[in-house]
Order: sequence, then structure tokens, then C-alpha cells
Amino acid sequence: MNNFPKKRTNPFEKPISAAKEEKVEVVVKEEPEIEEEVEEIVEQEEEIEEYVEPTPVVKKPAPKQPTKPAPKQARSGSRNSNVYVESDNRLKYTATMDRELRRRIKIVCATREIMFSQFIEQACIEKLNREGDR
Amino acid sequence: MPIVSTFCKKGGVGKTTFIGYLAHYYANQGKTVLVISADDQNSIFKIFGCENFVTANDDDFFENLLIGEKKPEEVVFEVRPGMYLMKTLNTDRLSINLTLKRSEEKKLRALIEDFTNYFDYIFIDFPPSSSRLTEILLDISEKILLVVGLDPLGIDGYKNTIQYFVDCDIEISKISHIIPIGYHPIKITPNKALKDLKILAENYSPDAIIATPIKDKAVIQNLQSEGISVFDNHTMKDKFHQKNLNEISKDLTEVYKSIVL
Ligand SMILES: Nc1ncnc2c1ncn2[C@@H]1O[C@H](COP(=O)(O)OP(=O)(O)OP(=O)(O)O)[C@@H](O)[C@H]1O
Ligand SMILES: [Mg+2]
Repeated sequence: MNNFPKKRTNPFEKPISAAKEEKVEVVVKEEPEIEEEVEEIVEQEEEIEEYVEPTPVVKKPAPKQPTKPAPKQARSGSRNSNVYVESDNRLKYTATMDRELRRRIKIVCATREIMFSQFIEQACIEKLNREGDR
Repeated sequence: MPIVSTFCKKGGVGKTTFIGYLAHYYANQGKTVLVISADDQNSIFKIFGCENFVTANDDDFFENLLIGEKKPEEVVFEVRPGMYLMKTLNTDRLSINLTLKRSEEKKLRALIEDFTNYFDYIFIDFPPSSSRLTEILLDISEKILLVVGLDPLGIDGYKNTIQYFVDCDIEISKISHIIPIGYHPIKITPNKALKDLKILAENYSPDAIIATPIKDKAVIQNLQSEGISVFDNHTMKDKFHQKNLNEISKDLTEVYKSIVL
């Protein structure tokens, strides 16, 4: 993609024992061109993150969940902050939602043998039923 | 000026990724390093965004050097400051030559021996298949890093590799480290595989140190599709991926530090 080194340098000019001193300068070169190139990475990550692990292992540690604080959440103080995370850079909800919450949901899903997305669908239906579609 | 290899009879476990970043890690520290791709897929070029070097010319392969058609400086490609790669064209054909002609093997050995004068480290990236070339290069290697995927097939790959070493009379004690890849703290499979691997390793390769397992991080694939190395100081577009990138570079740095070559 990027064609960094335009020219070839010859490492065979001098044996390393002889070339030791000069080398220091060569090393400092940086390659700035790649910085802007990232596009659409989020999409790919999505599948991997959303994949519901069939993790029966975690069934046992499940009760411990609440003890671990969710550090990311501090910013939106209300009680509901666990559920509604306001963030500009939240590109992919289930991947960036509160980690503890996601973990809890995954465990529940694994226990009920349903998919993460099914769980969310159910939750949405419930919420709509409760609050109406307005 | 050690010659270090990553090897595993199982494919796609992360050999190239591991040795590529290892080389970059040393290059960033001011070392001059060479990675010879003994795998004619030359996928290491892709990892560093330089696949154009593989296809640009068809006469600057390692083989062209071996038959005396080219000089060493004409077949190396600097993909990062201080980090050089060599590509191979057809290792099967090369292996046939090596089998048929003893003199070729001598030439190959002398050539790589000579490289050690010019580089602080020489790394060899192997294909999963085995050939005469593989045998010779493994024999030349001072240290072999055995990369093992943390899943049942990966564990089979470990067993298979040990068997291969026995069959080909390659010293198992040259395996200095075992690098488990694909770890996840809460998933069952990798944890079980790691346990199995430890037991096997104790029995079959007792001299090898099992490195801290490397996590399965999808961000690596994203970076590789862009030709960006984890040590490029690259900034990701969003925090989530940045966090993953930071985590994997930190983990890799720690593992690389712990592997004393
Ligand atoms: N820690 C990791 N987390 C997630 N994916 C990884 C990791 N390491 C490597 N990979 C991915 O695994 C795939 C195979 O990696 P790589 O090419 O390094 O393996 P290999 O053992 O060299 O393969 P081959 O046997 O074909 O030479 C690549 O897509 C790479 O991005
Ligand atoms: Mg490879």
C-alpha cells in the first residue's frame, strides 16, 4: 500500500562492527505518510466483538460481576449511565458499550443460549412496549 | 549476530507476524536486521505494506543471489529504517536443487554465514511446509521460536513439529522459546490449550521457555491490511481501536523484551 523506502540502502557496504557509529542517524527516520490511511476498520472488528462466545466457564464467576467497577462510566453520572453511554466516538455500540455491562449480557446470553443480538432485540421490544413508540 | 527463526508445522498461526514485529522491534532499537522469507509467499512484505517489492522485479530474489546472478545489496529491501527483507521465488525448486547438488547447500550455508557480518540479527520466516531448504535453514538457526496456536489443531501442530524435528535430526534443544498465540483470558479453548501445551512442552521440549501468551487481537489484521506495523507509532481513528493497538504493542514489547536472543 504505502511505498515507504523509495531508494534502497546498502547494508552490505560495511560490516556492522565497522558501521556502528554512523548507524544512529539512519535509525531516526519516521514514516509519516501512513497516518491518514485507516478507513472502515470498525466494520471488521464488529463481527469479532459481537460474536457471542459460548463461554460456560464464566457462568460461575458471574455473581462477582458487580464488584468490578466500570471505570469508563463515570462521566455520565446518573443511575442509568450503565445503559446509556453518551460518547462522540462510539462508533460501534456493542463493541464500545460499557464493558461490564457487555460481559453481563454475554454471560446471560450464554446461559440462555441465545445470541447477543437476540437479547438486544428482546430488550428493545420490551422498552418499546413499556414506553410506547412516541 | 544470532540467526533466529520462527517455525511451526501448522500454518497460519502467526509465525510471520511474530517474527516481522520482532525484527521491527530490534530495528527500532537501532539494530540492523535482516529477515529472510524462506516462505515464497513472502507475506512479510505485505505486513509492512511493501508487497510492491515482491512483484516489481522478477530477478531480485534470494535465488538470484544464490546462483550468483545478483549481489547481496541488490536483493535486499529496506522496509523500515534498519530493517531489511529478502524474498524467495520458489522454495520447492530451490529445495530440489539443494537435494540434488551438495555444493548448493555449501553455498547457501556460506552465504548466510557471511550475512552475519552485516546484520545484528538475522531472522528467518519459515513456511509451514517442510523441505530441504527448511531443514538446512533450521540447522543454521541458532535459536528457534516455536509458534503455537492456542487451539486443538494448534496443539497438534506442536506435536507434529516435535515429531518433525526428531525425524529430521534437528536438535530440539534449539527451540529456545515457545510462543503461544491466540490467547483470551476467559475463553475456554485457549486456556485449555495453554494448559495442554505446558504439559507437552515439559515432556518434549524441556529446554524451551514458554513465553507469555499473545492475545488474539483483531486489530492486528486491520493493521496488516493497511501495511502498518504495530511499532509504527500509528494513531487509530478511534479510541477503541487505539486501546487495542496500545495493548497489543505493549504485550508484544514485553514478550520481545523477555526473549533474550
Ligand atoms: N495475535 C494475533 N491476533 C489476531 N490475529 C493474529 C495474531 N497474530 C497473527 N494474526 C493473524 O493470523 C493470520 C496468520 O498470521 P501469519 O501470516 O503471521 O501466520 P503464519 O504462521 O506466518 O502463516 P503461514 O503458515 O501461512 O506462513 C494473519 O491474518 C494475522 O493477521
Ligand atoms: Mg508466514
